[in-house]
Amino acid sequence: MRGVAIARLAWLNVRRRPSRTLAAATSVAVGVAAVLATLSLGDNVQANLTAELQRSALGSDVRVVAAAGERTVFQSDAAVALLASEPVVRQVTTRLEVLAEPQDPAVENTAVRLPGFDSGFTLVGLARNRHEGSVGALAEGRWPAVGANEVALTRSFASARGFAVGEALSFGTPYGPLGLTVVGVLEDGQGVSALNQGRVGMVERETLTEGLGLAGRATQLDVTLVDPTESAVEAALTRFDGRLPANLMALRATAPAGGSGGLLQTLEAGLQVLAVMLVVLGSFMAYNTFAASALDRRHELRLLRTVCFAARDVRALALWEAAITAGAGVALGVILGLLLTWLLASLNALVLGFTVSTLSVSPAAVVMAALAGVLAGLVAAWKPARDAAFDAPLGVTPSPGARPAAHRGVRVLVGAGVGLTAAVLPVSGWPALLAAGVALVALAVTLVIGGQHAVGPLTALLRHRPANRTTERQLLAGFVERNAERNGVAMATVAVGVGLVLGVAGMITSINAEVRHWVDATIAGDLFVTSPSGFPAEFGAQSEAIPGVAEASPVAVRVVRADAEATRPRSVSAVFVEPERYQLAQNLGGFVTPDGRGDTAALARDLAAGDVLVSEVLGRRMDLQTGSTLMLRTLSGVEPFRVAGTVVDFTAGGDSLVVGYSALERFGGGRPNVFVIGLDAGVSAGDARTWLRDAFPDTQLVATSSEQYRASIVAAVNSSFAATQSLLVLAMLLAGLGVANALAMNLNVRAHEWAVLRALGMTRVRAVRLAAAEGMLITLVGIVFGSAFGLLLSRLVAQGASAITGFALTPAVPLGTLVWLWFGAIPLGVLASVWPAVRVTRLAPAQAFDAEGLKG
Amino acid sequence: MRAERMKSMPHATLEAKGLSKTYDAGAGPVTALTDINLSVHSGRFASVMGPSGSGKSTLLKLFGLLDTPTAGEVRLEGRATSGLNDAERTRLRAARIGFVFQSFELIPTLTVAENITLPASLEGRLKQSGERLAWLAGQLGLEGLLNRRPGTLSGGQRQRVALARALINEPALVLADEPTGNLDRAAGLNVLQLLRDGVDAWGWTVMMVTHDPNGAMMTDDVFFLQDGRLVDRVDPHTDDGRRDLARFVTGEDG
Ligand SMILES: Nc1ncnc2c1ncn2[C@@H]1O[C@H](COP(=O)(O)OP(=O)(O)O)[C@@H](O)[C@H]1O
Ligand SMILES: [Mg+2]
Repeated sequence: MRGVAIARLAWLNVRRRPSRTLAAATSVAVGVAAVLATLSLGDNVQANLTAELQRSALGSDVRVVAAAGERTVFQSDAAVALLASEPVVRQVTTRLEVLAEPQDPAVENTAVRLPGFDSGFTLVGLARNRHEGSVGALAEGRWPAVGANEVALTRSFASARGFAVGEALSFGTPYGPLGLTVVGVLEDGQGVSALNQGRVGMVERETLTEGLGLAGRATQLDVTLVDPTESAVEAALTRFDGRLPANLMALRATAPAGGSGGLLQTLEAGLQVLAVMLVVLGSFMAYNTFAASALDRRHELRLLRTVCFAARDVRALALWEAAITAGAGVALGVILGLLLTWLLASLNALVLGFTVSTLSVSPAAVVMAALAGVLAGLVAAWKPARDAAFDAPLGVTPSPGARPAAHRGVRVLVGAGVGLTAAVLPVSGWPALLAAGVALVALAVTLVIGGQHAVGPLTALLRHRPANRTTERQLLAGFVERNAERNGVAMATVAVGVGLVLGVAGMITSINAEVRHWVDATIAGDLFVTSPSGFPAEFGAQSEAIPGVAEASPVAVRVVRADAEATRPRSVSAVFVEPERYQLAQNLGGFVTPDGRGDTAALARDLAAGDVLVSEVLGRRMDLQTGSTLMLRTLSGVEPFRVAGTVVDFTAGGDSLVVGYSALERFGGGRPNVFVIGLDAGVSAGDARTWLRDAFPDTQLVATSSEQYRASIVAAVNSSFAATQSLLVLAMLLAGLGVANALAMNLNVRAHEWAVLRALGMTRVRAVRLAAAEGMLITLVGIVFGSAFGLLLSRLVAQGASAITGFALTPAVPLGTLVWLWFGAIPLGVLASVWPAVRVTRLAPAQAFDAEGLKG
Repeated sequence: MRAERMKSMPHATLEAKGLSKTYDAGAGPVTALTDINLSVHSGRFASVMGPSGSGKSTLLKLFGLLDTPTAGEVRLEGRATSGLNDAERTRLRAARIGFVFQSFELIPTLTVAENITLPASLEGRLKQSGERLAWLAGQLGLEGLLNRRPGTLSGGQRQRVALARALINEPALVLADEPTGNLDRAAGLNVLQLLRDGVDAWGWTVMMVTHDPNGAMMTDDVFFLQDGRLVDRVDPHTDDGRRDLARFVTGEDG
């Protein structure tokens, strides 16, 4: 009976204070949203990648591609006939995809396409019996006609390059130039437009087979089955694999082609750390709100204690209110969580190159998030509820020192000790990440319980600076001291945010340093030449005949299927180089071993003998060492290759291996992607570029200097981390939210004092300035602690990162981020401080006459 | 003699003309004051009496420029205040009006000296206020207390600190809302006597809300409020006035 009455009173109280309820509910909602986003983010990335692949399957269930490499062109007639005769097959259509670069005579093209980093532009030739509905939609113009040299470009590509319907373009392809007229513009993200990150043009297959002399060739067969169910597809795959010639393989149409797995894993791990922080932040903010609410209603609660409530009842009342508020927070949080999931999935999509079309959230995730929200609400409300219950009834003098402050110092010391110890532990891999987590939590707890000690020196400075000792400084010091607990929480959120940003930024800096080192150590040629139209067969020999050109060595990059005993098969980038020439002593380039001491000449000999070298990252991901056997798909089936050693290589995010150039034929052959040119001493790169262009007038050569080439590789790696960095900005925004929340609560609790100050003649501008100064102080202290800790943590995170990414990193200090952070934090701190501080202006100074008095 | 001084003054320090205030509370409008006309001249100690809810505090808020009237206007030192914006009213408040509250409202984190000089500091005249601080401390018996925190003072001491704070900027007008309401008899009497002495010796102008007929007896003018209307004004220095006051008080009690 009594319980029901208390619950009813709680419900009335919650309804009576809509703005406070909303504030507390929002805090809980942030936590709920974080849990929901964490739990469903992986699913969403997966679901959207699958959806993307489904779209690029253009309505088919199974695709058949060349076993050795996806871009390899194969003779398709026999395979089409074979598949068509299968009773489970409804239809087979052929697809021919050709790398092409639209030549714009007005623009000199100096951007080298980086093999393994950049997939360039692709012409997709579709057979006439394609599934019309799945090709996509026209935004403008019409479809290319059969027998005419016509193309439809995606809207994004056409607008990026300024191409319009009616324009006649010349495309450079590996099989020679091809003239096409633009007749249509495709809607982005649908059908063909979903391929190759939208950098595609759709043509009739005949246009390519006839125009480029590729009669009867295809790069992919799209197979539709009579029964598209999971089990039927599985059965068909097994059957096709047994019957198709060795150079072809059948894959589920929605199976990923691989490539960006490592980066995806890195991103997800980073996101999970951020999400945990969001949960903690949400609970902090809920705690703030509940604590402020209990304080605010102290008089009312004491009155209840006097009239009819036992301490137990007051606690029950507070917890009931928290539960009701948390319930509202959960509802709000689910909505917010869906939004956050979508946002994060979109960020991932931006980096990994797919479009977000679905939002999938499992009921289990929602239930988990809801539980977490209610739990966070109750945990956050526990201490304020207890404090309220401890308050004496009216007329009873509260017993002084109910909570001894002595333990606090001990706890602060213990917290700081644990945090520092964890931060300097000499561990790597997963233990390092765990230590980083422990250090961050310890830092947060230490700041929460030791908030006033953290600002102690600052307030002392404010109080005792002899010159300019204005009353406002004293007021500020007084506010900071009395709000220490709440401010401690806010400082902790800032410090954790900053620490996290610096920790992750340290990892990124390390990765960049590693990549730069690799690029500098291994790329040494004078000129790097690519050709969108493909190199002529004798390019190497002919260019070496040019006086001044010493050497021209081909490099090819192919995607190959790799199988190791220990791990799942994966698609990796194989870099084909000439072992005898690709040595650092030759000034063209070479290998570096992870420890920098290996015998690279011996490695080159092994490579020439048919062995392969794996990148350090791949070695760790596939558990390969020197002497291991790696199974690779070649034209003659799956063949064993001995791993001769480990080298540093970041092609395709590190999913790469090095193979001798002479083996290229076994993997489908084709032309090299790049020629590395060595020049005679004294010859300038600019001159050599002109000579090469003159020598090969029909080949649209793009030649870049070594520095440019290196810079573009580093830039390509950097851009992979753009999304991670924008997520770090999100972390800082949330820290700002923590400051704003604490400050708003500070102002709420001391509304009466502010009213008195206003009544005594403090102008609005001054009041806002004074209130905002407190927020700035919190931000500042948080940043100082966070920076110190973050720099310690960056080492741990970098060392822990190897467990997720496979990168072995030398810790680096993210100085750039530190500077950026300090500059970025100032406007953020101002915003987080001024925004709530403006509430002071809405306060009626007349309130000074109304409420109960100050304690003074 | 008093009449003479009044004539020589061009303006009253405080003047209410047709002052009305209606609050727009949740349950509908509440009329707190209706058509109040009164004036307080320089060097006078005025008081307002009336039953609870009669509009005394509302009147003081309007006089203190803390709130704006629904109709009519407040003139301070002959100057209309209705056209002023918030910043102008705030500055006028800081410079020309001193406040004394029933619950003292001292800032707990500031020392006594800092509390007293707070309005001067807000006016940017902290440095110049040193002399005045010392003088007020002497007048109000606060000499030994200047470096203490309000939390360590008695109620009477606190209200004397509040009084010093109200006077630090040499205001034209001191507004006091039941300044003795939270004090014991002796302390209350002490504060009232300090106000009376200040008015007589230094020409302070005070407007005080009080429930205490003995307190009202020490003032020069007593305004009676009832249901938001000014129902009477008496001079307690006269026998008639004292009788009116006694009648009013017993009437209120009965
Ligand atoms: N902020 C306000 N909102 C609504 N009504 C108010 C407000 N302040 C005062 N009142 C009402 O105005 C009337 C006068 O109040 P007040 O001036 O405080 O009287 P007193 O000080 O004489 O007790 C009362 O009925 C009171 O309820
Ligand atoms: Mg009142």
